[in-house]
Amino acid sequence: MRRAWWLVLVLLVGSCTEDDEIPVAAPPAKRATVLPVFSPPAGFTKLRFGLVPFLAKDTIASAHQKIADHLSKSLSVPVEIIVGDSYGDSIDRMQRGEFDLVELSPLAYAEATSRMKLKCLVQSISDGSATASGYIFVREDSPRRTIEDLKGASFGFVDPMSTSGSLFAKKLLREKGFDLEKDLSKMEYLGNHEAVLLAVMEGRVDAGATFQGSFAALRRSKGIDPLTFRVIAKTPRTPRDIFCVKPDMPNEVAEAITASLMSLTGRDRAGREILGPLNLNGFQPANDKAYDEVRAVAAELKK
Amino acid sequence: MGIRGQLTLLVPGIVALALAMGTFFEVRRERRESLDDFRQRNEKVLQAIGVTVAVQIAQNDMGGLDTLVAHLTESMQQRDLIELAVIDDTGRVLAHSTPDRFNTVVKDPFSLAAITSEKPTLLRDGGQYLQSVPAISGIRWGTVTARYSLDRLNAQFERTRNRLAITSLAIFLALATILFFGLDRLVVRPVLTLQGAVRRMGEGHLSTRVPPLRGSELGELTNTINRMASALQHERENLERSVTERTKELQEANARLERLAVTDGLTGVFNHRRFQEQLQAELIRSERHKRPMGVLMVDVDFFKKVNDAMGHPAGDELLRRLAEVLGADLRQTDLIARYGGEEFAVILPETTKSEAMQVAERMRMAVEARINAGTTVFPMKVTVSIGVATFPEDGKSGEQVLTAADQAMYVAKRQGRNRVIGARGPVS
Repeated sequence: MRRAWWLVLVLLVGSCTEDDEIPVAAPPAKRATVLPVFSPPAGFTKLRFGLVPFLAKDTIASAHQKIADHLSKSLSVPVEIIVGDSYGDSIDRMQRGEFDLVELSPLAYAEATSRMKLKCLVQSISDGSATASGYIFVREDSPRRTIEDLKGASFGFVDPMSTSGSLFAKKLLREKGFDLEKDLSKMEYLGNHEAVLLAVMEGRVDAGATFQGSFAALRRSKGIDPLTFRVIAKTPRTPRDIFCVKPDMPNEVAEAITASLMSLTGRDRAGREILGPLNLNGFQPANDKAYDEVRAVAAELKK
Repeated sequence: MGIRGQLTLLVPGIVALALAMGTFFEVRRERRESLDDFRQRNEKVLQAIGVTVAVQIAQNDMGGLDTLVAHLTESMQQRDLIELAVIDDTGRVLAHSTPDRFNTVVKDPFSLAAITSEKPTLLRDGGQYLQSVPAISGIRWGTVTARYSLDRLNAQFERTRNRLAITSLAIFLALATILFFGLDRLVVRPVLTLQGAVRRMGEGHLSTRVPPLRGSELGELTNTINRMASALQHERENLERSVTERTKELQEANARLERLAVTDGLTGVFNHRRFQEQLQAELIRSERHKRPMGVLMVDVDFFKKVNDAMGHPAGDELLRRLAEVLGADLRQTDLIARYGGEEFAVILPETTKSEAMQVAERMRMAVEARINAGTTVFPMKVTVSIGVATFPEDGKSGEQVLTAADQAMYVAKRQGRNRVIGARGPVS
């Protein structure tokens, strides 16, 4: 009798426990490092590689030379680097079909996709991330310590089509109650991030907007100590550049370009040699949704 | 309340109380452990972050710090992280999961305590935990603070608690049922059976026996009660038997006493008292039915001579013989009694004066003939003088009729004895 009671108890308790299953992550798939030999389709004799001038035109072109060579080797065709005169110019030329492949900054990409269809391949990874913070900064000895202190200041932006160098900074200023036309003594578009940093350093503008990687880039190119500048505000993180091909690009070529770019990482010496001048770590597959936030902010600021 | 009712309340009550207390303490322990576990795990994670953060601050790598905080926040939001911040030693925010908070100065007591504490700190803030660790790489470079939501933990805890509660409820129902039916079968029903049997015994049904019960104590109690009932029953039967016997003896003694009380010891006929009672009764009856009644007063002539010559035993013997002879011819309804000394009195219901005179005459002749013809020889011829009186003509009361008969008897004595004389109306 007593034994039966225990049995009932044990059954009752036993039925109420369950095993929590811990999901086990699948091991990462091994990435192919050896690319198949690509034979270009008939009519595909040259790759025109378009760029936006986020840094000085020459700097950009030379920084991209190695990746252009890599692509050329992968695709067995020559690659021509073409840098637009402005962010807008690059978009226009893509729309006119003057580029086969284009690297677009986020806002430029948002603008381009509002005008045309693009086949997107990869997004860049820099400073270990596919996103970056945007900074509003002043010179280290500036008395301006917060955004509020920027009232009446002159402000240097990169380009109206720059994401961190314009769009998100403007959004932040507006959120803090700034009427850009009235509350800033001067608004200048200096063309690229390096120019903005130099303008702040030389005192031509009181403050500027840029992305988190530009201080390191300036140290690399000009040996300028990042502590020359003081960040006083950060914007939400923005995605980095995206690589797209024209909509009528044959799939096999698009796939070959993707494979070629995805094979580049900072993990090996060959990859670092190509990516180093671009301050990139590698690429990840493109995700259009990552740019929705940029589209939303752009739409908001157009009002 | 009956034993069944009490057990119904008591047993589930005790089981419920025990289970409720057990569950309560288990739930509390579970809660404490899960919170401890949560806190410790988060502290380890933050300490790991703290090292990286310290290196980045040391290298003035603001971009790297931003990337770290942004990615950690993103990935840890699924693990309850609400907010992650890196603060320098002045309380200025170097990096924050909300970029807006960059370059602000913390003012909340927790953060202010955190930047001065050399150890990890913890604060429970409603449904959230605030935790901090110092970011140390060689020297202290800043502080990492985090705000964790306890929602997921609470939900998990609630599930555990509900599971425990349901388990307890199930155990309670099972135990209460088993205990209730077990006790009902082992205790309540036997006790009720015992109670019923003992009540019937108390009501006098001593032949009642308790059916055999299981369980050593109850079995023994049953046997004891049954033995007790047997003994009681046996005693009562004995008592009843002896009472019956005593009653019978008493009744017999009473009858004897009654006979003695109304009978004359010497002659065996009724005594004076019984005669008086009967006379009154017959008088009432005669009056009611308007019927006559006769009374005879009989006296032995010269009785003293018998006693003197032959002794008292012979006198007694004579009286016995006389009673025999006088009573011999009487009807069932008539009554003869020894009135006193050598006097007898007779009541004759439904009898007229002349009929009574005839009865008296037959008596006188019977005495004269039969007594003197017997084996005993008396010193003289034995005769009787008889006075006859009737109701209502010789008296309205028993006393009057009796006096009239007595007077008539004395008249018979005076006239020479051995004769019958009827009264002539009531004696004035």
